This record gives sequence, structure tokens and C-alpha cells, in this order.
Amino acid sequence: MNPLLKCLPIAALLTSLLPAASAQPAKITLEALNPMGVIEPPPTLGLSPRLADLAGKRIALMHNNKPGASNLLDALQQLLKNKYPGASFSRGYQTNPVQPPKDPDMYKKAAAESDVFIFAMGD
Amino acid sequence: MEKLGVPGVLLVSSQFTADAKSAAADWAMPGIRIVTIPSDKWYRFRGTVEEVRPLAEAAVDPIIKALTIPLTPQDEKPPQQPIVKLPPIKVTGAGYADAVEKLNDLFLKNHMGDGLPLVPPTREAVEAMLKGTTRSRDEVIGKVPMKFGIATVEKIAINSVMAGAKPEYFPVILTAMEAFCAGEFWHMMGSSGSFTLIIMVNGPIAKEIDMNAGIGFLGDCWRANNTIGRSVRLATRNIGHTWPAENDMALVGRPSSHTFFIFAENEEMSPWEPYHVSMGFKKEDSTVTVTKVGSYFGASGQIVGGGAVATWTAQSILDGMARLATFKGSGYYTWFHPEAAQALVDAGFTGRSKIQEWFSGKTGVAAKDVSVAVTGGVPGYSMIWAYELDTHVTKKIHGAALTKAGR
Repeated sequence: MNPLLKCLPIAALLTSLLPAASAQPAKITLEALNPMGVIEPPPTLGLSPRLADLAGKRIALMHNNKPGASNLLDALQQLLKNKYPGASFSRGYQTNPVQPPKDPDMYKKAAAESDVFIFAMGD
Repeated sequence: MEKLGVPGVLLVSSQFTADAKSAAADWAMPGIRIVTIPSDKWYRFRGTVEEVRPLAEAAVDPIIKALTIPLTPQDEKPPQQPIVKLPPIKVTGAGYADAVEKLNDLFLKNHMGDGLPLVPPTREAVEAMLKGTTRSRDEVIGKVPMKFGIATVEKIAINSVMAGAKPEYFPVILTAMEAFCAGEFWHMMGSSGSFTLIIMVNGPIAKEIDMNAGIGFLGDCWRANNTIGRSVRLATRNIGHTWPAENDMALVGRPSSHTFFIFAENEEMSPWEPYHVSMGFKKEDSTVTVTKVGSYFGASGQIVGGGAVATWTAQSILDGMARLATFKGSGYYTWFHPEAAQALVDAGFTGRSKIQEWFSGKTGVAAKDVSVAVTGGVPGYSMIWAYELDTHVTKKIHGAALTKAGR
């Protein structure tokens, strides 16, 4: 008898077992710890009351010294001046895009001298 | 200004709206009124008042409305932002490989990770990482910008597992995070300027954990260098809650985005005392120095001499560095390859302080703001980097449990 034929029953047996051998692997559940940092949110603050109108108001035009922000404020100042001829504008309050203002009291001074502010980020 | 009782409006380009809202929430005023300028026009037309006028015309009415439309009850008294719970994350897969794949997909979808495959930070793996230090898992190392997430030892361990670090590297990672949290690094994490971080390790721990200090010192194929750097990158991103184009606006990403730049000083080939000794630490101490540097601008990672092709002298290298030191108000990180350092000694620069004094006299930069390191092998390159003051911080490693150094 051909030796190959002798093997046939064995091959048939193995074939019959194949579905069991290739069955889906057991399900695995992984539990991973969360890598995000816990944040302690600061107490949330509300906005300051809005003005009824900008007529005659002191408007602070502020920016962070990024190129273009000053140009945008120049154009806005002209447009606002046309709409509100009695409004006044202050332009002396600029921050640095990287660091806090050099004058730690800048915002206090700006707040004391303004009724409203427009801050252009330059980005 | 709003906190001081003055109503206002913020003008940002549209691409930065999410960033502005995120920052407003971080600084306690999520309801701040924002008017957007279209980004696709802003950057092109901001150069002159005339060019930018149409954008101002389109914005002026929304600005007036933002300043005059009465507040809603929510504007007046917004709800307190909750402390977000961060429970463990479970995934089930058809076998281990499938579960790992699902976990990676889920992490990235939830803005945790860096785009490369992550090692699952299972409880067992994190416990193994924590065995690298004697420090308490609950110790707070600092707060990480942009959202100032709290970096505990355990949170850093989770990120270190994800990065593929070994527990014996963990004290180095902790110290890098300690230095990062101690400096002014928030700008680096979000700026459009695509700043990046340099991590330098000094002292005996570098050799003990097999860090590369020679040829290819900023490159790949060194597990300690690469996974310590990746751990710090992941910890800063995940603990600080940053994500590209949301509150991380680095326009071109960062050089060496996945691992930052990390190396050990080549103390063996340096003719000078090790960097950390010059900073007042003991020779047997091990330290980590982190530095914020620019990306592709000016004196940021510029090679100024050395290599295997062009010839060079100690003086030509110094002159090249001084020529590039044009950013006023910056510090300068000067890296000399070992042969250049030896040539400088031969020319009379017998210590780092001599280099600092020469550089200061030539450029006007204060000597204390000139840092000198010896990097790379033979042959090597000398390089210069500009860094922002207050962003060059050295801390001593302590609490190591699995190495002789850094205990």
C-alpha cells in the first residue's frame, strides 16, 4: 500500500479537528489606568455688565503685540469713531505674546481709565 | 479687565477659537465674548491698515453687539466647572493583540497618546514602574500646562508605561517632570512657534541606564534615551490636556515630536568638569536639565562647525556661535563636540566659565545665561540653541530604587 494512502485516515482526522484549532481566541479584557491629569477648575466667574451704548464711552484698544493686531485696531478705531464721534480711545496697553505685562498694574490702570475694552490677540 | 469690572470682547482668528475658549475656561471665565476674524484672510491681510480694513468692517457690528447685548443669566452666573473623573478604561478584544489595538484606538480617539502604538498601562505594569522609585505614588510633582493637570508620581508612571520605559529609568523621568513643572514652560506647550524641549542627563545614572552620549546622541535606537523622552512627551501632553490644533497650536508640530531632544552629556570625553558640577551639584549626583528651545528659527539647533567634511578651528566655532546669537533677551545653550572642547582648552578656555565670559563679551548676553555642554562623539558637531530665560532648569535625581545612582 502506498505509504501516502496509509496516512489518509490520520489526515482526515486532523482536518476534522481544524475548526476547533482555529476557533476564535478567548476574549481578553484590558483595564488601563487613566493617563490624564486631574484638573482643579478655578471658581467660575461671570462677565461684567454690558453697556447700553458706546456713545461717549472710553474704549481701551489692547493687543498682545503680535504683528497685525495693531493694524486691526487702527482700522476698528476709525470705524468706531465714525459711529460714535464722542467716544475716546486709549492705545497704551499692550502685553507680550509670551510673557505677562512688564507693568504688573497694567490691567488695573487700563480698567480705571476705560469703560470697555477690545483685545485683539493677533492670532 | 473683565475681572476688574470692565466689559470686553476678545478678537481671535477662527483657527484659534477653540484655543481661546479653552484658555478662557482655564482662567475661570468660560463665557468670555469672542469675535472671530477668518483665519484664511487674517494672516494674509493683516500687514497694513488698508488691507485689514475689510476684516475690521465685518467685525465691527459683532464687536458692538458683544459689548452691548445684555448678559444672560448664564453669562452672569456660569455653572462651576466640574472636576472631571478619570476612571480606568476597559476594553475587550478577541485575544490580546485585538484588545491592545482597541485600547490604542480608544486612547487616541479620546486625545490620549501621541499617534504611535502605546503599551497598555495596566495596573500591574504601573505597579512595576512605581518600583523604580521610593517616592510615594501620591506625591505631587507639579502642575502641567496648558490646563494645569496635577502630575502625581502615579500619573507620570502611567505615561511612562505607555511610552515603553523601564522602571529603572523612572527616577530620571520624574526629575525631568519636576524641572518642567518648576520652570515657565506653558508657552512652549501651546505656542504656534512650535517650540520643543531639550532634556540633558548628567551624572553616573546616565551610564548605569545605558544612555547614549556619543555619536547619534539625539537619535533613535537607544531605549533609555528614546523612552525617557517619550515618557516626558506623553506626560506633558496627557497630564496637561493638550491636543494639536485645539490648545497646542504648534504649527509644524515640533522637532523630535515624539521624544523631544534627549541625551546624556559626554562627561567621559569632556575636558571640563561635568555640567551639573559647574551648577553646584556633586560629581556623584545625577541631574536632569530641561530647556525650552525654538524649532526651526535662527539659532535653534544650528550646527556651527565640526563634522567629517569641512575643517574647523575652536575660534571659528566660537565666532559662528556668536554670529547666531541675535535674539536679544535669550539665553544660549552652546554644545561643543569633544574635539572642539579639547581644542578650546588648548586655546586657553580651561573651564566653562571662560567660554561664558568670552561669549558674553562678544554678544552682550549675561554670562549666567550662557550654558555650556559637551555632546556627541568623535567626530562630532558643535551646535547652538537659543532658549528663553526661566526655561532652563536643572534638578537633582533622588529616590531611585533600582540603580546605584540617583538614590
